Amino acid sequence: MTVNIFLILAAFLFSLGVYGVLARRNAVMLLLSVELMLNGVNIMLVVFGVMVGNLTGQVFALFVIAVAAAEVGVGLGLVLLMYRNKQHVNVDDADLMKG
Amino acid sequence: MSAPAGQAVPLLLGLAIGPTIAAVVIGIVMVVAGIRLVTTDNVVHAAISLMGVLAGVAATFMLLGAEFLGWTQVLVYIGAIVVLFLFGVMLTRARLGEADLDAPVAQRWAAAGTAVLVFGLLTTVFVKVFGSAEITVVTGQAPREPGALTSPTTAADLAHDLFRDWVLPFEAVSLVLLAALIGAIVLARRDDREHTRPRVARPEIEVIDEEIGRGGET
Repeated sequence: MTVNIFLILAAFLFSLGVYGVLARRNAVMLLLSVELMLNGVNIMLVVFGVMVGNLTGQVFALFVIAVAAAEVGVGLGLVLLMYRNKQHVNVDDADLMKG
Repeated sequence: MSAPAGQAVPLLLGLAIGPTIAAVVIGIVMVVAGIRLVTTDNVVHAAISLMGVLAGVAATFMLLGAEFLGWTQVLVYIGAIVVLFLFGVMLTRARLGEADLDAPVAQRWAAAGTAVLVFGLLTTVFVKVFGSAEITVVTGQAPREPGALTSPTTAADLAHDLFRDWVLPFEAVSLVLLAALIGAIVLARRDDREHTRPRVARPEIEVIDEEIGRGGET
């Protein structure tokens, strides 16, 4: 099977994530879209690992999964805090620190 | 980047075609779920769609021989992160079916343009650089070769690499996870002192809080 099936699929997932991050206003949807991007990158890492012929790609994908778990934990904590203070999670209105 | 002929077991037609068809089917599922994720108006539907994408990614990992990674994906992502997202949806009480999730139309078009640009760039690079690269499916316990997909990576193989070459990053990641855990608890914890303190001393502070909250909305 050609490598490009997986690579183009991963690129498509990444692009969907880019669209989601830029086009959504709900903070939870933003975090969901970031997950899409991370998964696209993970697929690329594993494919490149197979092509090179060692396990480094898989080890890196494992690290990405761990960091993604941390990111979601902290991110949802921030979103909860924002909801508690402002009763909404609209990122366009979170402009208290805007200059 | 084709595998050396000496290592590759001659493939039957079915064995050569099978993985490609599987990849295409999994890919279609992931594309549909992904598009649904970024277009739906319902946050819960988006979380369920994410589950579909993650299951597809896990299946792709297994197709590529990354067995341990596939199961990690199922356990950590589908098992833990999606549940975390559902908790987030529940606690922020995002109203179901509201159309307020999306940015204005102009911004959405700009986002779509950016996404198409990114996709085009990545695809062009991949086709130009890896256009002829193939992954050969090799059956049996052949030694690992570049571009050859041998028997699935066992957890022992992965652990060997992880704990020999990548011990320090591994420990660093565990520290990051611990810090994130504590940080999330500190952030999301309800401050109990605010509720137990006598209410008399609080009014002016609460008014200021409300003004800050209202000021941000305009």
